[in-house]
Amino acid sequence: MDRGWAFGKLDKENNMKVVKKTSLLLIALLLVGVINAQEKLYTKEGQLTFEASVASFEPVAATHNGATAVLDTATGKIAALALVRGFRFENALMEEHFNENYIESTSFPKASFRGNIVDFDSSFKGQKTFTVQGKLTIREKTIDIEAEASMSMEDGLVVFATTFEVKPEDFDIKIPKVVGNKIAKTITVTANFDLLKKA
Amino acid sequence: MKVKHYVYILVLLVLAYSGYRYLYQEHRDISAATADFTIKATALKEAFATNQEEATSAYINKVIQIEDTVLSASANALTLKGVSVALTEVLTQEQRKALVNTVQTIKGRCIGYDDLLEEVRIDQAIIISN
Repeated sequence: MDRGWAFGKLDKENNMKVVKKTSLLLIALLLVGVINAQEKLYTKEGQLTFEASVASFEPVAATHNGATAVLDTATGKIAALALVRGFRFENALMEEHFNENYIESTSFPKASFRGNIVDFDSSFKGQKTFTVQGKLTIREKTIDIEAEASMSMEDGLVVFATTFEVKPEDFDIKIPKVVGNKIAKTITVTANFDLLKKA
Repeated sequence: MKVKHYVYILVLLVLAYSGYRYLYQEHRDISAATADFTIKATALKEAFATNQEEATSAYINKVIQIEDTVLSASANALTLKGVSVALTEVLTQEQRKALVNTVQTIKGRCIGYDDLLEEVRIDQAIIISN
């Protein structure tokens, strides 16, 4: 009898402990889930284009359809990454030269941006223009970028669009004299990201 | 003299034509190329996670064939364990559903490692078998 009672008590205590632990764990998991779901939006099919064409010469332009971007809506922090091999040119030879001689994508496979959206407020409705500040790294050379970005928010989808200009010499890219007049001195970069919650 | 002129013109034409062919060559057709490597998605990701520099020089711009389980499928992309694949074709809703949780053989070009999402990226890919 005594033993039975003692065991019963022990079991009860243990059970209570287990229940407490489990519920704490559950609450923690739920919280983590909620925070994650609310804060991080991302895409891995972001579109990037750059335009370095000079009038009356063959267009020097490329598009990337697989850029990654992650936006933290709680802090306004934004990170983007493009594997430069993914830039597609209309002209195959131009694409080869871009990869082999200019951007040198085997040695420097990534272009990345880390920054934040100034005074970001995730509660805005419709469309709004923000300022984005951050650091753009290409060929392991980093420059500061500040640009205007248009953002619209609807049903959990954030459409982010920005345009800014860079120069080849910012990233130590040497343009040979022969083609110097066929490649623009300033290159216009456009980014379009459709950011969604991670499924 | 006259014959010589014709030869000059012919040589010029051949040069112009080959020059044009060189400048406006076709893009590499990844779907028709033989795979440089055949590897499991997890093994490919492991290679990049262990030594990114080494894996980059080994696999970048190479045609890679992967056989592994499809975790999710969007209109033109597949996600495998540790590898994200951009397809050249657009999948229908039914095709996408049918692909998930099946083992597929996929051939495409490796463009490197995405640090943000921690996965290897493959583009210009086709699904070979099911």
